[in-house]
Amino acid sequence: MGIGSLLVLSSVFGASLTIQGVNRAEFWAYQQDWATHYEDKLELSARYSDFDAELGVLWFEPSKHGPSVRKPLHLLDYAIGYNPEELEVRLGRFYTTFGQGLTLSSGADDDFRHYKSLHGLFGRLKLPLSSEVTLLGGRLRDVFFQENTYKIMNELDTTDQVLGADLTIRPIQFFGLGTRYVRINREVDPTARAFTELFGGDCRLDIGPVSAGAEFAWRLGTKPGIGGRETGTGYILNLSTALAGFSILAQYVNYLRLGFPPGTYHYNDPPTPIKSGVSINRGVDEQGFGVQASGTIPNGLYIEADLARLFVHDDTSAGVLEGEFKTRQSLGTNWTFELKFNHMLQKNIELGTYERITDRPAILLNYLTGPHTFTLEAELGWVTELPTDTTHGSNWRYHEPLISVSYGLGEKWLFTIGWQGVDKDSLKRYDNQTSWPVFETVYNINERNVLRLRIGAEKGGYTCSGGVCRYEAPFRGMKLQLISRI
Amino acid sequence: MKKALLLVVAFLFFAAAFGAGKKYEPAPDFTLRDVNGNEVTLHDLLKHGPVYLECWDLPCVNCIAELDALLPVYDSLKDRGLQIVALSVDKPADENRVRAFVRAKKWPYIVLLDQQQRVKKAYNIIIKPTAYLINMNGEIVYTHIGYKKGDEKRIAEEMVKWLPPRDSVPPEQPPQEK
Repeated sequence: MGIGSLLVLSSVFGASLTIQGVNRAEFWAYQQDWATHYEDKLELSARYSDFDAELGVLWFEPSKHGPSVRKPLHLLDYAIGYNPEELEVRLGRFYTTFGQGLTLSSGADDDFRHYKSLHGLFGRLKLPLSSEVTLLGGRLRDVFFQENTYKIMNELDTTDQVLGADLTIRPIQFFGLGTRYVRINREVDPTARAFTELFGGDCRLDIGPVSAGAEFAWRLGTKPGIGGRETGTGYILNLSTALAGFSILAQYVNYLRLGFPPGTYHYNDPPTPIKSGVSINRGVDEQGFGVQASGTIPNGLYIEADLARLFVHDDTSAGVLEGEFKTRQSLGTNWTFELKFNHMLQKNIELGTYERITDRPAILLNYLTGPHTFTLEAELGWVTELPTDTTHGSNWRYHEPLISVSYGLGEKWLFTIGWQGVDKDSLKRYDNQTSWPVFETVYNINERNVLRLRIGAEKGGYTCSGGVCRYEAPFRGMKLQLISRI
Repeated sequence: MKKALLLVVAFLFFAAAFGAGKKYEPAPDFTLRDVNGNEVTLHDLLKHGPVYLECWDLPCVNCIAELDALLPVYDSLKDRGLQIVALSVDKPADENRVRAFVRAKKWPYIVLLDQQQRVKKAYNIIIKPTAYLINMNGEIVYTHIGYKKGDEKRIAEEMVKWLPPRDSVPPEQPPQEK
């Protein structure tokens, strides 16, 4: 019971020593070549009074048939921390983001399997007037799961030095300010003076139902290879209001040469206004807006509408447009209905695709009776695609249906049968496959252990989270996952 | 680095060698900002009554379904001191979306922003939704992982076990979401 502490030691001072952890073990077997993939991610932590220590292990061991594709990854991380009430000092691995991420962004995303960590020394001190100062120095490591393998995206730059300072202050409850500075000394920079600096600031105002905020950043860097100073700027504006259960949120972003470095990983991650997380180039050249209106009307009907647009400065036709409408209604305690319609246009976003337009209505139906739960999910995507390679035609129109049925028995079991398809072959995105049936069962062994077995096929495709996107390769075979709380 | 690593390992072994079990584990204390900018500390909340702490984020459909389903449970038990804390682990870039969403949902819960995921990490949360029921002694007395429709009945049964008896002096009113 509880959070899964292995041990608790009482002391004469009333403090206790707690050790806890989580282990995620996964085994994949590919149907195609019977290759396997074993992965174990262990996070252990110990806490005693104001002290704590962490140990992290990522063990990735694929058995692909050649050394070019068999790329194991073994990482061992540690951290030691001292956390009295007003202070936090940490040596080793840590995660932090300044503001909304325009100057520095790191974090662990287990769902997306993206671990962008800093390694060094971190300190945070709470000051009067609800203010906080953060100082850090370290090195960044960006571990990313892509095409069914883990990669260190900045493998050549893991020795780059990152120094940062951040000050936030909220002297009165409805007004806050922040200022920050990040300096990055890269190994690839030609001279000692060829460093990159990011300056930033933000302000926030909350008056009654209205909230307004602005954050800006300015980058002063070095032109890659040739030297000389290069500048970049970016800002984000937010305005939201809420009244009688309805809220409206508006965002405007404008980034030019701010995302740094302009490659496969970034030290900063300026936010995207696109709800599904798509970005064009993660703050290198982006401009756009997002509007979201949502509310709960009497009888518990929740409705939400989103519209967002993101484009590059020199070509407003390129980029992303997304609109979505969603509604959810519960009838009594037994039935829940959810309807959704998503429209998305992506131009020059995905490699190999000039333009892709999808219209995707979806329905989710949930029915509960006694200990039994039934869920039906159905979706049909209408796709119009203009590929850059026109060997198989220049204007593709096809459909992407999805259906899944789940049955849950009490708290222990959940069974799902699903199918996804596409009525067009020769799609490189899906390795020329057209049908993906899947069966999954989840068994909650106890409060500490969850076992998940998935047999069948996964469609893969282009997916994004918080502006970071990747191509997920299709998968056929078996996946077994055990999540244990230690 | 090797020395620091050895220190960590030694710390873990020290605990393993001298540890002794307790019936319930202590809930790590924390201080976070809520969606209205107020600082909220767990040990202050526990003075008012038990806390049901649920980890959620905007993409987590089951988390939102659970928090919706707990509305009638909260309405019936809040006068006895129950507090529901919705711990948002959305990224800093999504703070405005979270605020707008919570206002549209009219959730009466305390919604905290754990943008750096410090509390998520301290509580070892890897699956969303994961929720803990913390009694007034600061002990984790019940854990609920995942959500299926109907789970709220079981959760309510657990909550009732840890509420002060009906005839006791009602606890001080907890802070309410604005």
